[in-house]
Amino acid sequence: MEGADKIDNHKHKESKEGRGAKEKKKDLKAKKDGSRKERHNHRAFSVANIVRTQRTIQRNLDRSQKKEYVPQKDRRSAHPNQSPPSLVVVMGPKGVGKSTLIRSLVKIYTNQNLTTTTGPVTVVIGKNKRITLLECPNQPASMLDCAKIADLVLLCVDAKFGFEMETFEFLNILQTHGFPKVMGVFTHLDQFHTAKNLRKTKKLLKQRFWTEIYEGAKMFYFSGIVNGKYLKNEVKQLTLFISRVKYRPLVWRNTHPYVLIDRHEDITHPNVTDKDPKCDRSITFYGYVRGSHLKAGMKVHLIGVGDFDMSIVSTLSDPCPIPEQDDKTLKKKDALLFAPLSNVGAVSFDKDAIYIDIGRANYTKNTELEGNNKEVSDREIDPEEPAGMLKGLQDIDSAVDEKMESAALRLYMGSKAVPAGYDYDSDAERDESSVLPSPSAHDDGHRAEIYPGIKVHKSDSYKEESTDTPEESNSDEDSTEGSDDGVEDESDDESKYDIEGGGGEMSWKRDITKHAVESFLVRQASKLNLKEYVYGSNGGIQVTDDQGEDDGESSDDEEFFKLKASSREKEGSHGSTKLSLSVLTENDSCRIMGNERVDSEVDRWLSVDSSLIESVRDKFVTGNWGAKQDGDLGSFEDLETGERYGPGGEVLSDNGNSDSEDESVGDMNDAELRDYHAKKKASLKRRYDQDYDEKKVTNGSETKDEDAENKYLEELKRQKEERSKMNESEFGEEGERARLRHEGFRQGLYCRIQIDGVPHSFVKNFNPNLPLVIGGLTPQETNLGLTRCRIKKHRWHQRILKCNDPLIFSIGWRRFQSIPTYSTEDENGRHRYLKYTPEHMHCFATFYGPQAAPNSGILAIQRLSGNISGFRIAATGVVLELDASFPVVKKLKLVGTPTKIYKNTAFISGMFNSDLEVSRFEGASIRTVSGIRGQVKKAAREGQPGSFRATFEDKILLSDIVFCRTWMPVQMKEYYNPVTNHLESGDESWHGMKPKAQLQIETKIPIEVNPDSIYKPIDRPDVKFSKLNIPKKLEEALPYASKHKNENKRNGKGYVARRAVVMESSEKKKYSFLQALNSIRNEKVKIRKDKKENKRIDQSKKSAKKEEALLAIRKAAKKRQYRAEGKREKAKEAKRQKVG
Amino acid sequence: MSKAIRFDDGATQFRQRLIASILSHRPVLIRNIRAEDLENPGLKDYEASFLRLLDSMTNGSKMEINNTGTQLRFQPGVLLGGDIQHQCPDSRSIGWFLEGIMPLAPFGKEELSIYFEGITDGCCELDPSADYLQKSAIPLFAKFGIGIDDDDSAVRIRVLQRAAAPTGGGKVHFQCPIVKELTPINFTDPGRIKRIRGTSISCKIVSSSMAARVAYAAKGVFHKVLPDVWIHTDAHTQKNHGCGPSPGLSLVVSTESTTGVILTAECCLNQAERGAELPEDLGQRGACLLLNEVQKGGCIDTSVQSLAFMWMTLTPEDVSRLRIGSLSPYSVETLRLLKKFFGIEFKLKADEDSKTILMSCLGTGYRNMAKAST
Repeated sequence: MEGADKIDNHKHKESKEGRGAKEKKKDLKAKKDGSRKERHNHRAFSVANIVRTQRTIQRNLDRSQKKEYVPQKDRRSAHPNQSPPSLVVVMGPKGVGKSTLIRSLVKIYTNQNLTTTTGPVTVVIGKNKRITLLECPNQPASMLDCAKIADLVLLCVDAKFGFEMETFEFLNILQTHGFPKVMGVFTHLDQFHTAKNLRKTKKLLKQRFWTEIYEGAKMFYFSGIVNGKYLKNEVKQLTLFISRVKYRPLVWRNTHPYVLIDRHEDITHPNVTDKDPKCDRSITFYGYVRGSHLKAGMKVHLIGVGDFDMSIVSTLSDPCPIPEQDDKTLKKKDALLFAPLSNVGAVSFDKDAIYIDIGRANYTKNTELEGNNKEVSDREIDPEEPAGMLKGLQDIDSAVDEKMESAALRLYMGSKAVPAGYDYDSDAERDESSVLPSPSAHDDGHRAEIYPGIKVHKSDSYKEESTDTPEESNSDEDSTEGSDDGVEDESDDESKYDIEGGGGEMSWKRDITKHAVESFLVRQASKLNLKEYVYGSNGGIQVTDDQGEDDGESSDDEEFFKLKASSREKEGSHGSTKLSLSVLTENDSCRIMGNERVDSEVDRWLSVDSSLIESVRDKFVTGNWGAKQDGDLGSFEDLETGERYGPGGEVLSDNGNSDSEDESVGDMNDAELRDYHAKKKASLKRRYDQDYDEKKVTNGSETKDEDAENKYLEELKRQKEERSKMNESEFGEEGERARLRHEGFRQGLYCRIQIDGVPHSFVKNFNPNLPLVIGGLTPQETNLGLTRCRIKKHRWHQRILKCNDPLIFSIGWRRFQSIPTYSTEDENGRHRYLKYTPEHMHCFATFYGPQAAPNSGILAIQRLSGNISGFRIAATGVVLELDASFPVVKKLKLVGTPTKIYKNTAFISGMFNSDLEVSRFEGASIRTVSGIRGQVKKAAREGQPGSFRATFEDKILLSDIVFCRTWMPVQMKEYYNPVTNHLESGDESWHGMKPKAQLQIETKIPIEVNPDSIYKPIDRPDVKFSKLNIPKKLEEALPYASKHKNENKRNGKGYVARRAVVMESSEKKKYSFLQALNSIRNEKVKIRKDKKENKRIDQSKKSAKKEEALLAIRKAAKKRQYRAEGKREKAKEAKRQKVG
Repeated sequence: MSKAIRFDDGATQFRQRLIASILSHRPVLIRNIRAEDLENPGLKDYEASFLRLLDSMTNGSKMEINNTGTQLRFQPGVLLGGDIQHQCPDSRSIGWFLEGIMPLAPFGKEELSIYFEGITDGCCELDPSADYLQKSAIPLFAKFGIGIDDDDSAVRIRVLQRAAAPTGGGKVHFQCPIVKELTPINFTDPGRIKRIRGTSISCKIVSSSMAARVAYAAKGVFHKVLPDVWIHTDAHTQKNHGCGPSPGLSLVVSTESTTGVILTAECCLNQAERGAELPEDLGQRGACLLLNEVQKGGCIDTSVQSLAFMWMTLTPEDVSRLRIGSLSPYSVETLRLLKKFFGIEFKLKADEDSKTILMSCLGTGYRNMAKAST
């Protein structure tokens, strides 16, 4: 900004004269003298507006507080290349345009038209982003599955119709299974005729949507359809937001691996299925691993089918990879689409066959088209072309066996090819060769044909790929493929899983040679291989030294090494190096040291030359601190960055290293150079951050609470980052295979999972529209036991739930039917049985079934099938506790009657049936109806069996009823039935146990009535109490006042009534006057009463008349109403008949 | 319920198999328990006692033992915790039981508090004593995040009454709070040893100078390398503190490093095996055992390796790293067992410079499912 100096702004003009100038001059002078006084204007820096300032400060503090949160554990990979495509579930009622939305999105992303949208559709949407689109079918079971795996939900709502029950149900399901991100899509907006109406509806819908999700949830309005797709601009808007969504980690998915199945193959040997079409099948499933690590020995739950062990897990190359080139934007050709169940491109998957559309029927060889002078190799056939594979097959000029003989296999990029017939000596190699497919026909068949629409980024890398994916072959080849697999199975029944290398280019691979050299040196030096020592040579993986591999760009070389490892080896199969068990005796002591003896070493430690002591001297603080050698205990090298750290974590100066690196910069290729610069930048940034942090620490002299809090949060964040970095780097250095063995299959890998023993009905009834999910289980979750949960009947569900009615629960991956027992907790911690769930309150439910960790959400549905009106979700809750038994008790009153009463003792019968029962209840407290308390003493020898002696605090009456209040433990019903809807045909055909009421209705059995429970009229005879007899002796002893007086009944009137009264004349006058007054008043009262009575009669007559008139009107109205109703009914009936 | 894991080699690793079974909820079948021993086939009394202890710690466990006692089928239940009293037989010291149940301690429904009765001292050739576990295992609890929240619920091992082998009568209290999940460890820096502490214990020996002589001798060895050595003497007589009827003399010494690494060794008088040993010899032997441990290096003792390995597999799905001196045969078996039950294979990396082994593994993501949520 050179011109900036020239701009002459208006400057402040200092006043030259006047009061201001004078003051200033004085001030300057005083400043020079040093006599200037500090002024103390107390209002100079005061707060002008106290309340507002306070509010501002408060608000700022609040806002800053809101931003802070304790960092959650997030197992999602930080690198987009290593994370699986995020799962976008499109949900909505029937006919709102879910498929249209998916079609429109796919068109926008990949410019391809999908005809059907069955199964998951994976698309690359950005240079480091991809998503899987999945349409959620409208069945409760599938809705549950979708909610458990969705990362983002697009809720489609028909704006013209408004919200439907499914939407709310789905939102509720989402809530209980961890709330993923939700965005609303409102369709059918073109059906509004007036703008005002549209605006109004939009507002209403928005309000409802926001109350359901959260204030400000994203919504999109799709106005109309053009060519079967939504308007491009509107969909673009949606794609923008899809690519920007930040996903919150959900607890369940942080701790469990899961695979959404892209497709599956039945690889059972055809012979076996021919023999017995109902035999159990072995099926391979394909999909991305999501969530946490999928371990090979893990039990998995195939939702809707059951629990299985995975017999083989292996990685495959990513069918829809993120482009490797580091471009600024996604190129059109890299925007891949992978939708194996939809009719994409030329291959369509039918139920039991795969069809390839070869485009044209007549086929002309390329060579003929272009002339013979040009040699055309296989590679030049465009694999993307629909008929590419067939053309490739037709182009073959030599037979397969000829090819086999001359075939050469290049193991590593850049390595020498190994010709066929070359023999390896080592067992390991032989082992592998049995698994490695022959590089024949499959080699020629490019992978691209199998996944049409996928543009193969490097066709030669595919050429070298292993072909243990039988689905590659077309239907003709199916049988041979199957038999191959069968043979393979037989040969390795020991092996539980094999691991294949694979995946995209990993960061650890970049300097793999360096590591290889290092680790080689280490191994050379160490006397024995620790891994083999511990896990045996068979226990580990037969490594053909993958470190020796070239560090070429191709990551697919490793695919070749299909490795075998047995998770549960037999004893005899241990390698010779493995320590045998015999060292440990049955003493089971940790102090057994094998052949190591300490006794002899005592003398050596105490020997005069003390060389042994000298050897450990440096391990003490008194030793030589400077004696640290390179690579000593404290310092370590960060393998990711190549940075070296001292013991305290400080960065060691890497002068020596950097010099050499600088030299080597010259001969790096582009990727390496970029890598090198990135590393350098990262290290610089870290150094700067460190300096900056230190400065901050020194500046902040005061340690306020706020600072401490901030520091704490920062520390937490730092720890989290460190941990995730360590998790990533720890196992990477030893190669992909070792990594898979140590940590299992991490998220983002494309896996092939073979499961044996799947019921044949799964294959028969497979419906590609329903999502198929494999969820990993922790060992605890395979356990069957009781679960106690806090549950609440959903307030929109119409009926309360009855104890011992079966419910379908959805917990974790599973959904199963079980019989809950409801209970409530009394104040003393007792769990009391409840017949029904409370209407608006939580209660406890205890049920039997597979267990899930406490705090997992629970959702209960009464029925999956059938037409159910109203809100289907019966209850929601949370798991509280797991145990093998839970005490739930029912109140039970035992009733007895006294047979004989002595003072405070009474003999009671009818309460128990035998002496044994009595002895069980000895000491129990009992009570009479009148409230006299007592205790059970002992069984009586005579009398009715079960009668006993009891004592009370007072004498009881023979007519008293004695009762004993007890609590009966309630037996939990051990019923558990997994919902296997994938094994049933049709949409809604899974039927579980039916509740009793439903059965009664269906079979028309009347409700059984317990006659004891009927209320009967209570017959209470009048008690006649006998006369009170006081013994003579007692009477005599009583004081006179209490004595019974012998009063006879008087005959005639008494003296007062009998005597004659003679009044004086004045007295008489008064008396007669009073009499007169009384009679006057009486007369008045009588008149008033008569009048009132007359008035009442009149009034009632009047009202009766009025009522009569009204009745007529009402009658007329009713008649009109019924008539209209009848007419309507009739019309309907007529219409129905017409239709019928 | 998953299939039972079968072992055909008898009572080897008896405790760990049962414990792994409880933790992984997988039933086990142990066969051929001393089947060759025609005199006394089957389970020993201490093993039966251990089963009883497990039974009192769990709810819903099922144990089936055949007539001869040579076969045991164990179906694990839910871990309870709570207050438990256990009478250990005199054939094995309390340490054997304590060491056995330690991995389970933080995973119950409620805080575990067990009172053991039995032998406390004089069995350290076979099993770690309670004092040894107090010194070497308790710091490990804290490393895995157990009992670090407050002092009330700290992990404690207290010897209430001492009793040397062969007659019992001692009392040990073990207390351990529960956790929801363990925290992964990164324990690779052994640091430099800054101090040595220890206790020499005498039991029912009239002269209390015996303990002092042990301490003096041990100190003599340690002073060659470090001045900061402090060894307490703890003399118990039947009169003063009340101890068991058998005499015993033992020494527990531990080093502490600048990074908090604690290495411990112990030795005791064993009349049966060694005959009469002078207290001085005992002291020197104990000191040499500790120096041996120091020479091996690493961050934890050889005897608690298996505990550490067990817990490393039970951490959340994060990487745990640990440096150890050398693998004992017992820990090697533990590693194999962990692979069998949890499918976890450790990465073992020999560090040539320090002659140590770097162990690392990814946890299984184990959560204490027995703990109730509120």
